[in-house]
Amino acid sequence: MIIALILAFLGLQAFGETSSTYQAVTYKVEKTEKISTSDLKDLVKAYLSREERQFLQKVGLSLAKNPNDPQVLNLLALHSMRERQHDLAKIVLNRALASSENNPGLLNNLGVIALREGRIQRAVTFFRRAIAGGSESARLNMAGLQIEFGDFQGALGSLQQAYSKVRKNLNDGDPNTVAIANNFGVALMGSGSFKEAEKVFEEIAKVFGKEVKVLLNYAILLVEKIRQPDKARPVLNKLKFSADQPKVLQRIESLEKQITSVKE
Amino acid sequence: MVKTFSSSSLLMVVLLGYAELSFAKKTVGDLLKNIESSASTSKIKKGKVALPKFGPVVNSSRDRDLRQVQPPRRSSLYYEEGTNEAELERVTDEGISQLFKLTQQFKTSPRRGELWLRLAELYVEKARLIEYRLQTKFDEELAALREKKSKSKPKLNLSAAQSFNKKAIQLYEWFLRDYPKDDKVPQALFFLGYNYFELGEETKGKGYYARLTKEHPESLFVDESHFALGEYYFDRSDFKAALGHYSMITQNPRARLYSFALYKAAWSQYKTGQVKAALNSLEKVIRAGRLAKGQDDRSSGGVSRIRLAGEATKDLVVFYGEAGSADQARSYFERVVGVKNSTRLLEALAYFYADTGNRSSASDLFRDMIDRDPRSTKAYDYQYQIVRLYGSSVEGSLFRKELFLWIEGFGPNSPWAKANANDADLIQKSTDLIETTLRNYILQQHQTAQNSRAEFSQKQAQSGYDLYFTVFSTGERIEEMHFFYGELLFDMAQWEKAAYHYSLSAKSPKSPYHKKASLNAVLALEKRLPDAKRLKQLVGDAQEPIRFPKEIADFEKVAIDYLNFFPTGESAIPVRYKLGSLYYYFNQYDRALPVFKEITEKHPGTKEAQYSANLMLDIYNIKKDFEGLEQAGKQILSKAELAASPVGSQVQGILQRSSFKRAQEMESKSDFAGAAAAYESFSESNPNSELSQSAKFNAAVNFERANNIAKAIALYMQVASSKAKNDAGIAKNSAKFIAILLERTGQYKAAASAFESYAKEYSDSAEFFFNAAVIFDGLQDYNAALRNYQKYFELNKKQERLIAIYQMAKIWEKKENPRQAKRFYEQYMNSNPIDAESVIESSFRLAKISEGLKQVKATEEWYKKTIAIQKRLSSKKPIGASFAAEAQFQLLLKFYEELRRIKIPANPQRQAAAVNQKLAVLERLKNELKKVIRFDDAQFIVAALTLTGQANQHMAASLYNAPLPGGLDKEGLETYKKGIEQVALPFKDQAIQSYKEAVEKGYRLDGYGEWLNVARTELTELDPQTYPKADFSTFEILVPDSLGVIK
Repeated sequence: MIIALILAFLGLQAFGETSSTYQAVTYKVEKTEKISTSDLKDLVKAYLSREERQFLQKVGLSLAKNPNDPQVLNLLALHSMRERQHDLAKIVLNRALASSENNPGLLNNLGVIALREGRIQRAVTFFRRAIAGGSESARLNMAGLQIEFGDFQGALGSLQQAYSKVRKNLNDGDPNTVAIANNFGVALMGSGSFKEAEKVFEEIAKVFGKEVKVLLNYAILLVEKIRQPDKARPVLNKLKFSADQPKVLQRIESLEKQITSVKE
Repeated sequence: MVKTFSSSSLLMVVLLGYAELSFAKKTVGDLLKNIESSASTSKIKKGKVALPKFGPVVNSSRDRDLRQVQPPRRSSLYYEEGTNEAELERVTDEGISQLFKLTQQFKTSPRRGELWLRLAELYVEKARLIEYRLQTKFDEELAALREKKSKSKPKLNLSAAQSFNKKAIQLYEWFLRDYPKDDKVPQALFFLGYNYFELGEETKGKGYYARLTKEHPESLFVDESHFALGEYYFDRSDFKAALGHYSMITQNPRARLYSFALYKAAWSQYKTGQVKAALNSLEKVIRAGRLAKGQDDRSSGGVSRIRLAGEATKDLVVFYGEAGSADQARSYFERVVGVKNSTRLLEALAYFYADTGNRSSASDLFRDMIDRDPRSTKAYDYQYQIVRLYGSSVEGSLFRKELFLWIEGFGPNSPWAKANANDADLIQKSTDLIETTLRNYILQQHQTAQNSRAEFSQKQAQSGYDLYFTVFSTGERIEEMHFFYGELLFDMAQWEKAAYHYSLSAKSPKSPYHKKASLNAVLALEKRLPDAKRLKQLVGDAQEPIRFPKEIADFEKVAIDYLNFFPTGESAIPVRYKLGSLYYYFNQYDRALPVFKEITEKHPGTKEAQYSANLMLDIYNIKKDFEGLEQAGKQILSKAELAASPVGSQVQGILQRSSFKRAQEMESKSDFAGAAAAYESFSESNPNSELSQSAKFNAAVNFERANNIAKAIALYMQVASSKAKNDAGIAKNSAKFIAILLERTGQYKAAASAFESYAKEYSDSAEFFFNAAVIFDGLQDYNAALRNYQKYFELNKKQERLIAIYQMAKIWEKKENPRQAKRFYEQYMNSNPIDAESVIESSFRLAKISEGLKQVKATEEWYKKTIAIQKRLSSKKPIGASFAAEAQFQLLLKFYEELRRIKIPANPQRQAAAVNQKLAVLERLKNELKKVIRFDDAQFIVAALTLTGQANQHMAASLYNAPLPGGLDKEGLETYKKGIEQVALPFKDQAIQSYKEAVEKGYRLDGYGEWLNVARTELTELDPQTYPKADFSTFEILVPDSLGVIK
């Protein structure tokens, strides 16, 4: 009746964090209110606008209604992550997890933080748990790790699924779109599926014609994997125009030499 | 770890307890209860009612001087009963008128003397008539004086009669003058004596009587003169002289005045104590009268002998009462007056005995008469007389016995009454007499009980009342009797029965006792009302209306009756209040409220109005009808008398509290927003109230519960800044809640500062330093975090405080100060920490820091400790395996380094030894790496496999690159190289195999890390066909999840 709030401890050992780092807090309140769609929109708008004061004010209003709302807390964590305050982000995410146990999105974000901290194994643990909960973000992040460590086959499925979703709207401006498309092409290429890879690169090169990484991979595919110098040349030409990093330029030079030798 | 605290109990105190505690002296309920306890002092006063006047039960012992017993006046004997004196006087007057005319007409006639004598006789008759009339009137006035019906003492003035005596004297003297020799001279002489005696001129009268006796001794008027002289002396109480003259007549039985003289002689004898002689004389008179029956009776000086006998018979009782005995009475009277008349005389004698105090004789005679005819109409009176006889007896039991016999035998439902039922008057008379007697007796007993207060007397009176109501249920005095029985029972503390009789007395509004009886019934039943302790038992903690138990229901009924009949009676207010307070006690609030309201409305100046006001408010308080409470309070204050009374100021306070309670009520109904607004409004409206800050605090709490946190924080801040001593508790809590709410709403930076401020202010809250530290750490304000962890560590004396040391070590690492970090980790490890994971990690971090500081020995020691600690703490459940695996791996790197350090020399004789030495190290390394794999940590399984590949690859490379021995020809050289190839190739194949396993396990077990990339790179180098170069450009995909809110 009178209890305004009860604070309780919930351990986080299950999430792989050390218990001595922090503990989650669940706020039990008399009456929670659902955060309205419009409130949530305003909150997202404030988040995206990067107006911290405005954003925190709206977070406060929302958490007043429901201090355990996972979406609001997660946005607050994303804000902290954006501010590179990873420890604070972890406090907030664990607070959200205390009342939304095994929320795959929250687990994914803890994985993201772990990865940013260079704690690959911890990140993998979170991602795997998030994937088990159905998190597409975590599948994508896991695929990113796999690509990075050359496990193209392992990453292929997740990237293919992600690509099929972004493919219809490659022009959405989301930086992840080009990353997904490119990495999918790489996964195909690394797995030996050159024809499929060529289709992907051919397709995305039209949209991301100034993306050095896309063009470089496409060029490697055309030169080294399927040996189509005619197709490779215009790609290399574009690439030479866009690239400025020495390492990339060296690689371009190497590819041109290979075209020449092939031609000879 | 954000330390939490159990704020529930705290808030309980704040929200309930505080209010209650702060109201401990002044809550609405307590105030009202206090007032109520004093309200019980409202008393209804019982008036005293004197018992009604009552006659003595009996007066049987009247002392009666027998000498005062008188015979009938002579004048009365001249006229028979029923004589019309007025007519007689008229005839006499006519005769006088006619004769007077004749005497005038014949005044010179020789027969004028005859006319004078006849006229003189009429004058004498006229004088007698006037005297009789005057005397009768005088007697009546005297009786009225005795009976106190008149205050003036009567005077007997016989001058009117005497004027005719004088006229008669004149005519008789004229007759003696003119006719001295006439035969009627004796007559003239007698009447001259008679008339002079009537005029009081005794000497002259005596002279004429003497002359008559001397000059005319044979005359009939001699007896007349003796009788007249006897009468003269008798009237002057000279009974001896009188007896002498009467005796002169009684000597001659044939004398005209014989019976009369004998009768008067009897009285003279009686008066002189000669009772038996007197009795004999009376017997003679009676016999003379009996003989005269049927004869001309006008022979005794104008007085009937029969009548004289009648008088004598009456007097016989008196004389016998003096001389005879009761047991002989019946035979005596039967002998003297005959059987038929004897009963009357016996009855008279019985009454005489009763009147003269001879109880025994009277009682015997009455009882005898009752026994002879128990259904007689007089029987009831005989028994009554017996009752009377014992009325003043000290033997009260005898009286009660006789009284009871009387009531039983002759009461309204007795056999006697049934036998005489046709005689309604008789029955009524007897009933009235019984009622009066019994009532007088009861009231007398009641009076005694009142005077003595003795229980015995009270019970005597009570039994009388009980008998009375057994016999009588109606009657004009019945309500009076019920009332006084109620009074007696009240005195005897028989409250219920008293109330019953009071109620019966009050039944008729016409009863003079209606008002008092109604009130006294209330008072009697009020005595039976339960005391406070009993009330508590009856009602307990019940909230719902409780039915009145019988004793209270009885009280309610009589109280309502009283109020209906006497709504403005002097006791109406306390009765009404008492009734209302009973309704209140029994939770019958809907009944209590109108009662209290009426009292406060109509009688605001009374103390009952003050009590009622408070109880009325308390009812609303209990019902939690605070709107009603406020309205009632305002109504009370609208009455000037109440507003100015002590209760007025209390009501002011109550109203204030009711406003507070109203807010509490909304709160209890979970209308937090409403409660918050009400509390805030209270605080703003009553800024000087002692509850102002409490209200503000409660407003904050309810705003918080209504999720209006911003408002809550604002109010908490106001309360927290209060410096008032009384507000210390809520100020402290407010400061605490501010921090909590800031944290709750994600305002972490502000929350951290608030936690720190609170912890600095209140020394009992070390955990708030911890909270502040954790958040500052998250905010990367490491100095602030260190400061707060340090304070936490200093203030907290429990083992748990070690966590602060551990956290500070980590912060120093983040601050890239390995030496400080090392110091805190070491402090942590030296403090007997118990958190297994932290211990293992700390040990590992010490190894890493030592390694960074190039402290080789320390590094190795801490890696070893990490492994040992991990092993020790993982006896039940594996813990910290990744740290132990890495520690183990790091320790093995030295073998790899040793392998690499062994160079194969150019000297062929020494080459084999070197190779063998390397092979030994390689074998040991491979065996040691199995220890790493046993930790089953994916990353270090990959690392171990990769390092195995590295070692084999190194062996192969060392062999390939070993210095060629000198002196070999080309062929020999080729042969040598082939030999080397054969030796080195297996190492190369083993290396490829290890790398391949590392990559495969890395992918399968998610063993991502630098060693996986090493394996991949080496594979591409060693087997580019199988593992082609894959220098693709990839994008980092690190996608945070917005949980669907960002599309």
